[in-house]
Amino acid sequence: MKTTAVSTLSMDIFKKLEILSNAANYDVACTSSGVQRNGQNGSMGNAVAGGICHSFGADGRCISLLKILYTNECVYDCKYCVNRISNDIPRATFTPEEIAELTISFYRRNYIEGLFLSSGINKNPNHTMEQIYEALYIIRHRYHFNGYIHIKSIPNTDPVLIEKIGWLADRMSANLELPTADGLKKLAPQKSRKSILTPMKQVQLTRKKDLNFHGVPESQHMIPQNVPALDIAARQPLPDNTGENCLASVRGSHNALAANKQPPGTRMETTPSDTAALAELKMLRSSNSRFVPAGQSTQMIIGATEETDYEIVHVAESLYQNFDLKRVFYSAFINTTGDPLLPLTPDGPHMLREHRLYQADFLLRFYQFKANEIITADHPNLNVRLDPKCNWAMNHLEQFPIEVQSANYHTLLRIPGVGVKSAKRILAARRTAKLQFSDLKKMGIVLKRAMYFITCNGSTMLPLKMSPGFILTNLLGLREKLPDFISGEPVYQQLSLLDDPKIGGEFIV
Amino acid sequence: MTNVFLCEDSADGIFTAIYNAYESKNGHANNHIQVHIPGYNRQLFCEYIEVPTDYEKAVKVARSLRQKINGEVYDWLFSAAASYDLEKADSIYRAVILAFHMGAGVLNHLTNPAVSHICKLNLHIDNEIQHYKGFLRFVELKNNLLLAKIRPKNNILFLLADHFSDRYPDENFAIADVRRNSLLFHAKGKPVTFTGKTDFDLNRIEGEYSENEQLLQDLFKTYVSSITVKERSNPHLQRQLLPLRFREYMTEFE
Repeated sequence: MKTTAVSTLSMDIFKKLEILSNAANYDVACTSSGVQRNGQNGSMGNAVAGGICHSFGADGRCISLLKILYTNECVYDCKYCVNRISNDIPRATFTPEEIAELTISFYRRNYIEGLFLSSGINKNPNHTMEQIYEALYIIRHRYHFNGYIHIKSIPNTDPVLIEKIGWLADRMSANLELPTADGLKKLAPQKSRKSILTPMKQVQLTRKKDLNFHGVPESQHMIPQNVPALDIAARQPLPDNTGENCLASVRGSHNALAANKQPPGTRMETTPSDTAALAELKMLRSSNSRFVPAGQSTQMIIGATEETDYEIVHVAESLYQNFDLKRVFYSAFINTTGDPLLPLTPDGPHMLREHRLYQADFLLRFYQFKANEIITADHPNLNVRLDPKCNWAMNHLEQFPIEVQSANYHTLLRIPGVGVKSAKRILAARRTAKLQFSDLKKMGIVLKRAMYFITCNGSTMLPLKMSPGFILTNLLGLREKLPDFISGEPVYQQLSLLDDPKIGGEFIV
Repeated sequence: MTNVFLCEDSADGIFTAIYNAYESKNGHANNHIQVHIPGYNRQLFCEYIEVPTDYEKAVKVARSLRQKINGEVYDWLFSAAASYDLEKADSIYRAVILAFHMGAGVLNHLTNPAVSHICKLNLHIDNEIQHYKGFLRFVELKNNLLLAKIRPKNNILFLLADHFSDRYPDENFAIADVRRNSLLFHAKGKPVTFTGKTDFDLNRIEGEYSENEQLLQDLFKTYVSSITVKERSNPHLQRQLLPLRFREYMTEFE
């Protein structure tokens, strides 16, 4: 692969990049994980299962992918979105060539791990997704790019197009936008819950079929896939090797499909009547690429509507269970449009709530918790002062202390201060020796949190009487940065015997 | 009397010293292995023995580790030798003794101080490799060579070779460890080569940027600043995740 001079990048590329990356800010995910693919002579790039962070912005968020919109022109008018049609902002549109060159040039210098392409809706969903497909096709076939690509799909896109993109992308995501259908109806009337979930289901089923075809056992569908490099030689040769003719034919086929008046998004099985589209799909299917090997993710906005954490956590759980999602991302609402239907955010986005939701999300994904253990309908919001795991432990003190020398993996994971790694280390270490508290500390168990909940060889770490109030006081005294108005303490305070910090059980869920 | 074996700061040096320590029949408790650095502190009542690195002896130790235990244990010990922590030599020695005693189970014996020390060193090395896989930046020079400079704490240059030659099989690139003055070089279609201390001059390799290099650097800086959400500014978190020591050669922080 030779990168020729950056011929297509004119000077207004700066303006475009600035506008279209700034507009992509509100896409939360920047992960490059979920697929392992070795490099190959004649192409550039590989993918690492755990993902690689290439930089961190001043907001502390990872910059792993070139996260841009194809265009910020949009025909929709979603109330919360900075790119909505009624907003007066500078607009820009990339060409597929520009996207390809930026991606390749950045990747070559190890700036990024790949591309995350999303878009506003230019003309209609199909037209926009066609452009995205074209960019994707150029990157994969003209530049032989073997790295990570994440594509955001737009609701109401033709399923044929979704599938074609799926064969070239590593991850696809469809934004849930808002946790409930009611919220969506109110704030994004042009999108419906169904139009979002249908492509999600399509991708899930096609991916499952592909994995089964390659003999991956069902139990391993959710762990990072080891896939072969995109082997260009294994493909059937294209007419002129540039892909342009091919693309034209697809566009033609699409018009034909549209003329058939098949309502988009209603068919689960793709049955393209047009022969050219069929041929291309066949070509994509017969190549050794895999369908969306890194799986799907989604994101929802937190705090734009009235949903409680109870609803959000349960929605996330059902997405993991019913749609095999890899990740659900939460994005604390920032009011960028000033729409009267939206709440104001004068104190900035509610980051702590978002943080607690992510903690709950990790409990769902890695700690074998169920949503109804984390949160109940009686107390529909997560406790902001304690993390969800500590909170659960405080409400289930009858299950503690846990003896680390004998507890099983599932039980170890329930201890605040013990993570997935340290639980595994405990399992390994206690095969050869009796554990001491000092060993636990060396193995990475956070004793300042765990000490109230464990015994080691029958004794607690400190010879103290543990009462719920005592544990709670100490857990709250740990150094976790909470905003002052939540910790309820003035910044400067004279210590006094008469102070009553009011630490009781009232805010425990 | 305690024997202190002074060895070179490399896997070969440490393994040679381990061979000599076994050979001395002095009793393991009376042996100590130490990386030989200029100006080290001597202790009283010790005999200091300098160990010249002997490749054959090192290979013998490596071979018995592989054959009598397994490759996994060997790799685990070998990679710890890349650490910047000078106490590594004695920990590797203790772990080798333990490994011959208890076999592959040594990897799980986390309560042993030497084992837990080596695990800690390896974790630090792995983390640094992971960081440099992301934070390393290439610049394109006039002759189309991609050049990156890094200043890692641990000697991880050779551990980066696989990742980057797999990623850029068709590129000519070089990665220079500025701290140790060593260089990794990959030419298209050829295996990676390493050049040690004195054999190269970085100033001679560094030349003018290629035509588009400055443009792309500026584009990337534009991207990094515009992808940041102003409302969520959190420089403390940024510094935690991307410590200042990595930023020396990073394009976006220049």
